[in-house]
Amino acid sequence: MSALLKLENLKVGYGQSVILQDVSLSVNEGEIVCLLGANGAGKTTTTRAVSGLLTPWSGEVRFAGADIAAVPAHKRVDLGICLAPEGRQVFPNFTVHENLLLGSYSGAARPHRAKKFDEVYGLFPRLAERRSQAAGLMSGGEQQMLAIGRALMGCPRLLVLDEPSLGLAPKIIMDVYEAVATIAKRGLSILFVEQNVQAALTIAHRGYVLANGRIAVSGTSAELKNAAHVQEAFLGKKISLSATGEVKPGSVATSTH
Amino acid sequence: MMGVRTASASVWALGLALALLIPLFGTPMMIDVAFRICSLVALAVSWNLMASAGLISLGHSAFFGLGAYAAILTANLAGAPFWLTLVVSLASGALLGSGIALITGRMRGIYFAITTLAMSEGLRVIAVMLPDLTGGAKGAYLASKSFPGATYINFAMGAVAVGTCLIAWALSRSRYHFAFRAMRANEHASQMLGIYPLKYRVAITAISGSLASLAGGVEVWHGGYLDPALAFDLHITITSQIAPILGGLYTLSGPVLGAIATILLGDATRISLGHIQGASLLVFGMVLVVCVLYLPQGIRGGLSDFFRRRSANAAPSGVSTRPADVARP
Repeated sequence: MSALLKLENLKVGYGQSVILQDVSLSVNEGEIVCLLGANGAGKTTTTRAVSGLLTPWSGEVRFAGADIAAVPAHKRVDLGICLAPEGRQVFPNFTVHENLLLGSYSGAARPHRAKKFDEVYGLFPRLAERRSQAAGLMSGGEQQMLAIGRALMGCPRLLVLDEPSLGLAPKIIMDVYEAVATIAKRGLSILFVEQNVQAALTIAHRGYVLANGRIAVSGTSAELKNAAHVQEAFLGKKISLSATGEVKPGSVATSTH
Repeated sequence: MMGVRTASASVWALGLALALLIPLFGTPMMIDVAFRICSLVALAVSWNLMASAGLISLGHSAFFGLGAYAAILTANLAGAPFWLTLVVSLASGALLGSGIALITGRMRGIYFAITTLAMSEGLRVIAVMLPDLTGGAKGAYLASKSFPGATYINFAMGAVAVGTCLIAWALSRSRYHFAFRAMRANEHASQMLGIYPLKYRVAITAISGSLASLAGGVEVWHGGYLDPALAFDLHITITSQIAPILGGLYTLSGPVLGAIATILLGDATRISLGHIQGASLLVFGMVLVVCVLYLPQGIRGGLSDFFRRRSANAAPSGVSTRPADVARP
């Protein structure tokens, strides 16, 4: 498998403050990779650097082999990097259909518009039912589906999802995740940011944990599920380890709530 | 509803045909009113174009005044004929428009608005400070040897108004319409979809600016005189946004209806109450407040509500879930 997206020693910040230091990660073709981390760890900053809304201070952003660090956001859509941003950011006064239409605004996506409409409406029948409704009048879950659908309309090779479960009811989260898994089965590469560790690791192949702007730990989902580091990065606490390095059952559950 | 669309199209066509007769057969007062309506239609539609992309202009008099000065200077200094001075007006507006878009960069909302306001004031001061060129505060008279005649100029203003509406219509039918609306809603999100905001910003301010300047250019041939206070009058800025707000923001017909209403209302109050100092403006202002309160979607929104209710009574139909903002004329 070749790396579709590769961040190397990425350093990004706002103004004077450094947010990401030395972040390296990769997403292979057809892979689902999740980026975990607590609030303020730099997850959204990473998605912004990938989608081009932020220019890295140093380091490389490579997409399909080419260095795209200097490519502006609107051109990255043409390359096939489509973002469903944090907080969804659908256009509230546009109808569902018009929101999706805007998703295929880029020159590269326009010829495939009809096919993509079928795909998105097939994936989210809910959106098809509500196609002429204003997006602002829909529920959070429906808006999230719309945000993902809108990103899919741009014919992505890499779909970037920033906290798709944010503010959604647990049942809706599972619906959204199911859709993400279905999209991935069709061969799309997905990079998604989550706080909801358990849910994220059930659909991701691999994951990275960000803490204080650095990759604290990475590995396959199975490895991360058991790794003490994950718990530590999320809970901000040392937890007792057995001699074999495994998490003692019960020690996490008692400290979470 | 095809019926409503054809009906409103034929009403507009009929109105336009009747308006075409005014310069030929109208009384001087009718001609004067029609001329001012056409001028305001061009300004209002141009202002509405920028507003549709989320750019609130508080400096439309800058475009208007620059266009007026461009016309009078090329006529007086270079002896250019009527139509050529208008080309220069158009170009000057496009240049100022794209310039302001580039300078303001990512400034939005109130920051952009303040910049345009300052631009208009700045140009007025410059015009005052260059008496050798502009005649300064004393003003300047148009001294062209090839004066095309009043009727010709009246038709020219009509053509500017119709042309401006046609450009707005063409834009509303194009896919750029979506880009502008998306920018107005959320410039960041539109960028994530592959829309490069700066490109559309420069384009829409250049188009809008050139149309407003064109109106200024024709106006100077109509009046024959120009001074900085007249060219960069705050009143121009204000009426060019009152008209779209009164008529219906972000729509095609709204600014046109609003321009007609603004001029007629202003004249009516002035004629009926002109003998009492300040009373006409007071009443004009109160009427505007009432309109904004009771017609939040403008005259256009009020009219379409009225017709929808009538057709709903005749044949009940499904409730539209589209907000008024989505409505297209």
